[in-house]
Amino acid sequence: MPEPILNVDDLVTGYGRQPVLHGLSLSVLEGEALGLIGPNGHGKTTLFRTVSGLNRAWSGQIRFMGEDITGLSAAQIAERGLVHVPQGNRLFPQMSVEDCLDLGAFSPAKRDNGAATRDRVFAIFPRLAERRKQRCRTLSGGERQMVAIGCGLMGQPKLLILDEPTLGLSPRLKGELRDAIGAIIETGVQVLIVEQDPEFLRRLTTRQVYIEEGRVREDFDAGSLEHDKMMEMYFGLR
Amino acid sequence: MDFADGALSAFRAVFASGLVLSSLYVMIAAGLALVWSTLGIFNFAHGAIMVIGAYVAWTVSIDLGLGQVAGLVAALAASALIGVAVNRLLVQPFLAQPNIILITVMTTLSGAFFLENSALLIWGPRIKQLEKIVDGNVFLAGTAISGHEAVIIVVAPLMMLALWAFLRFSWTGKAIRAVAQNREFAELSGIRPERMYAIAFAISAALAGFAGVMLGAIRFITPTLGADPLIKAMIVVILGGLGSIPGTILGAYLVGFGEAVSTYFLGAYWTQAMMFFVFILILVIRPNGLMGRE
Ligand SMILES: Nc1ncnc2c1ncn2[C@@H]1O[C@H](COP(=O)(O)OP(=O)(O)O)[C@@H](O)[C@H]1O
Ligand SMILES: [Mg+2]
Repeated sequence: MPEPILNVDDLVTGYGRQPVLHGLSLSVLEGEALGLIGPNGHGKTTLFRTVSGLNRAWSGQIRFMGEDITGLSAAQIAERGLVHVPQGNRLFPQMSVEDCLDLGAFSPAKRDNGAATRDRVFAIFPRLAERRKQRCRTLSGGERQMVAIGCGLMGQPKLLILDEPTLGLSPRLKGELRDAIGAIIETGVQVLIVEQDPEFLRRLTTRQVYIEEGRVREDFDAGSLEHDKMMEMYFGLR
Repeated sequence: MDFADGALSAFRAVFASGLVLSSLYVMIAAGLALVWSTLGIFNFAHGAIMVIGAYVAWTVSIDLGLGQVAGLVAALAASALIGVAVNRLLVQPFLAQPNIILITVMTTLSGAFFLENSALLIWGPRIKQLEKIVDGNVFLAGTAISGHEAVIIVVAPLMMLALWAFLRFSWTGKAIRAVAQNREFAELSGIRPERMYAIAFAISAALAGFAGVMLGAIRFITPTLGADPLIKAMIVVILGGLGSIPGTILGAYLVGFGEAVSTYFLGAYWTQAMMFFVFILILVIRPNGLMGRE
C-alpha cells in the first residue's frame, strides 16, 4: 500500500481547555478524493484548521507527503502544497479579485507560475475574469467562494482542502461549483472536502468519512451499499 | 491699502509656516497610520524613535564628522532597528490579547520613557542641532524660507507617493495590507504575518527617523522633542480616518495649516487648546474621521 498523501494520526485539539477532536485518525490516499460529512459543531472545521496550521495540535501527528507537518506554521504548510480554503471566507475585503488571487501565489517559488495559474483559474471561473478589478468586499457569496477556491488553486496545491464550499448558496450555484470542483479534480489536484450534502459528496469524491463528536465514526466507499447507511446516520432515517 | 497689505503678509507667513508644519506632520503621521492600519495599535514610542533618529544623525554627522549622508543613513537604520525591537518586545507578545489596544498604549508608552531617558543618559542634557541639508533661502509666496524647509515641503509628498506605491504594487506591500485585512487568510496564502508586522514597523520607524533628522535642523534636539509632534500626528491619524494614506495627508495639511493660522492670530499659547477644540468638534460631527469608513 502506498504512503497516504495526508495522514492524521490520533489527533487531539480544541479551544481553551475544551477538547473538540478526541483522537481523530484519517488518511487521504494517493489519487483519491475524500469527502467528510457530519453534524454541525462536531469538529470538521477544527480538523481542517489544525491540519493547515491555524490551530495547534495538542497531541497526535499530521503527516503530509511523508513529512511530519505537526506544529509548522500555516504559511509553511501552504508552501508545501497543502492548501486550505476556509469556511465562510471574507477574503481580503479591500483588495481587487486580481490582487487577491495573486496573493494566493505569494511564496517566491510559486510567483513564477502565477500568471499561468491565474489563466487556469479564469478558465474554470470565467465570471472572475469579468470581475477581476472589483473589490472582494462587493462580491456576492457565490463569487466570493469562487475567489476563495481560485486563491487556493493559485497556491498550486497537491492537496486542496475545501471547507463547506457551497455553504448558503442557491442550488444552481451549488451545481456550478460542484462542476468546477469536478474539473479541478480532473486536472490532478487531490481534494478533501467537507460538505453537508451526501449527494454532493457522492458525486465528487471516491470515499466518504463520517465525523461525529470529534472522531471518525464510519468509512464508506462511494457507490457501495453502505451509502444508504450513511444517509441513515446523517439524516436519522431508516 | 494698509489692511490689504497686512492681510497679504499674514497670508504669506501663514502659508509658508503651515506648509512646513504640514509636511513634517505628514511624515510623522504616515508611520503612525501604517502601524495602526496593519496592527490596530497606536505606537506611543513613535515620537521617541524620531528623537533617537535625530540624535544618531547628530553623533554620526557632527560628532564623528562623517557627513550628512552618513548621518541620515545611520539615523534611518537606527530608527528602523528600534522600531523592530519595539514591535518584537512591546507589541507582539500581547497581540493575541483581546484588549491589545490598551495594553500596547501602556507598553509603548513605557518604551517611549525608556528611549527618552536613554537619550538623556547617552547624549546628555545639552541641546543639539543638526546642520541644514541645503544652505540659503528660497522664496515661497513672497516669504523667505530656508532651503532646508523647502526640501521638507518637496520631500514629504514624494515620500507619501512612494509609500502608497509600495503598499499598492509591491509583493511585500500587498502582503502587509493582506495581513491587515484578514490575517488568517493571509497565513493560508503563504504570508508570514510576523515578518510583515516587523517590516511595517521598520518602515514606520524609519519614517519617524527621517522626520527627526529634518526637524533636528530647524528645532533644538532634546530628549522630549518628539512629544509634541507625536500628539499632533495622532490627531492627524484620527482625523484622517485611522490609517488611509489620503486621509492622513488631508489630516496633516489641515492640522499644519490650522496650527499656523492659529499661532499667527491667537498666539502659540492658545493654539494647543484651539486644536483640541476643533479636533473634538470634528469627531462629534464625523466620528470616523474625515475620510474614515463605517
Ligand atoms: N474559535 C472557537 N472558540 C471556541 N470554541 C470553538 C471555536 N470554534 C469552534 N468552536 C467549537 O468547537 C466545536 C467544533 O466546531 P467546528 O470545528 O466549527 O465544527 P463543524 O465544522 O463540524 O461544524 C464546536 O462545539 C464549536 O462551538
Ligand atoms: Mg464547519
